Amino acid sequence: MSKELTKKELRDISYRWSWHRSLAWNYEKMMSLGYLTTLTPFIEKNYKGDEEGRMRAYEVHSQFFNSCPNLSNIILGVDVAIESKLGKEGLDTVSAIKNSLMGPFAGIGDALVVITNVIFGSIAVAMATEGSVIGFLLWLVWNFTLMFYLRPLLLRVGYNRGIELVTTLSDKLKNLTNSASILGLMVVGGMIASIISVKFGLINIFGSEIDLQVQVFDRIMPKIGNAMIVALCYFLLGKKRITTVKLIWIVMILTLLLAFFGILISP
Amino acid sequence: MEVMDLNMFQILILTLLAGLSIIDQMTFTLGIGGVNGIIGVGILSGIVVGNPMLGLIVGGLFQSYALGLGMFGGTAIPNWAAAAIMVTGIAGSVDNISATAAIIGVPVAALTVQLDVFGRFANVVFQHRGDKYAKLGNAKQVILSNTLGLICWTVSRMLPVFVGLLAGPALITTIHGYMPEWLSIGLAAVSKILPAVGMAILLRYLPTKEYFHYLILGFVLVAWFAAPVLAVSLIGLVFAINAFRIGNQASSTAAVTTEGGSFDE
Repeated sequence: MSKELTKKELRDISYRWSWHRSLAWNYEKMMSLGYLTTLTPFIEKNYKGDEEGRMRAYEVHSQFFNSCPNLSNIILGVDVAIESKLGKEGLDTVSAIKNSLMGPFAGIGDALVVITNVIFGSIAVAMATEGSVIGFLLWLVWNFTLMFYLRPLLLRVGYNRGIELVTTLSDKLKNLTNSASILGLMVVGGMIASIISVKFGLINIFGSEIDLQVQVFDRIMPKIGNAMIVALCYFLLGKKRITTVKLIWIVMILTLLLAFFGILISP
Repeated sequence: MEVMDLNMFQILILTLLAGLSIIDQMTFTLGIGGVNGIIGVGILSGIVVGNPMLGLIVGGLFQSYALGLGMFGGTAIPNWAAAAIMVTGIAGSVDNISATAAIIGVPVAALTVQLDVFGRFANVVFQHRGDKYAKLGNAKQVILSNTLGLICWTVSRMLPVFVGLLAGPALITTIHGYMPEWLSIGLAAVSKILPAVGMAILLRYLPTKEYFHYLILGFVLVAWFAAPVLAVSLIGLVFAINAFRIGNQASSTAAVTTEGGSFDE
């Protein structure tokens, strides 16, 4: 039993995945229904005349699944390669592969997604604030490349190279994530100095007016306010009970308090 | 404060945009919505109110709050895209952005986080429906069950935007009338400080402790030398490529050793 998939069929699986992956995302089985829905046409075709295999495939792909939307394409590629070669005999292997790869792929893939988006995003934001749309267009080009070229490519690579790829890949991907983190951290460092604005005001001490920004903080180092506020948020996020939303309220109230006393002013 | 007077048609289109935005986030992620398409959704909202430039700037502001945030494993995050739609719809002019953002945008984005959580719970219903039909091997109904999940996503995003657009203008005019000067100044300061939250979340996510020195370098390049973001990215790329090569050499040596080990079995 061996039914080769055409290039177009493989690409369609990638597109179907992009559309269906998270439509019914839920706390119980996360992307499970998205994965199954992606593969329904493949299952129907692959198990034509093998009712038992077809039902087994539905069962196997109804299991819990959650991973990175992009790297999942590799899993899908390996999956359909095995099922099209071995039919229902391959389903146990497929199930094991899905379970063992989704975790690591989620970690690595999400990190890469965050880092690329931060790089494109910070350029887009910097230009948008000045009224230019070019940075955003650049980001759009990247998103379209990802959707119409890179994700289908990952699926095809998974299909062609199969399981042997997975072992060699996980080492490389880990290394890639580490290197990308270096790039990401540099960009974040730059963003802290550029996207945030903090300006200190004038205060009165014993009758003499002091310009906090010019006479105090600028003398220590430029953008010191930016570094201080990020350090504070970073520290607070390390506390167990602080959520993103709580932190937003804290920053808001703290800033308003400081503004009330004239310590912070409008940048 | 002069805010925008929206007609019902515009309110409905902007509401639909909120739905479209989350659909893009959960599917193709082409950049017209969700966490990483806030500039896109801002521009589209700007077109609806006849001021795309306003939309671009508002989109840029809220995108700066969302940079580095991601919906990983279903983490609920503030609905900044909804905020961008509402503020673009209501603000009317660039001068009003920070006040509108603080009175309507930020509170609604933060308060509606629970709607996201609710939507992710509600989808369990469609999961069960899909499971039932999967057992019967019914492809059509499986696909339908998955697609029905769109309802939870879109409703949870459209509702706050619709209400915000209806009630927002009156609310802002009222509050703004009573606002002391220090509060206006404070709100403007808040709007420029809030991106710090996103940066800090990102730093918690990245291996910051391990690579702290690169964070310093990026900061220094911009703070003292006013380097553009692209320059910082390219310098970062140099270090990244370098680290990647060194890492690859190390892992290929390690791979040889492991292969030797497994050969003995």
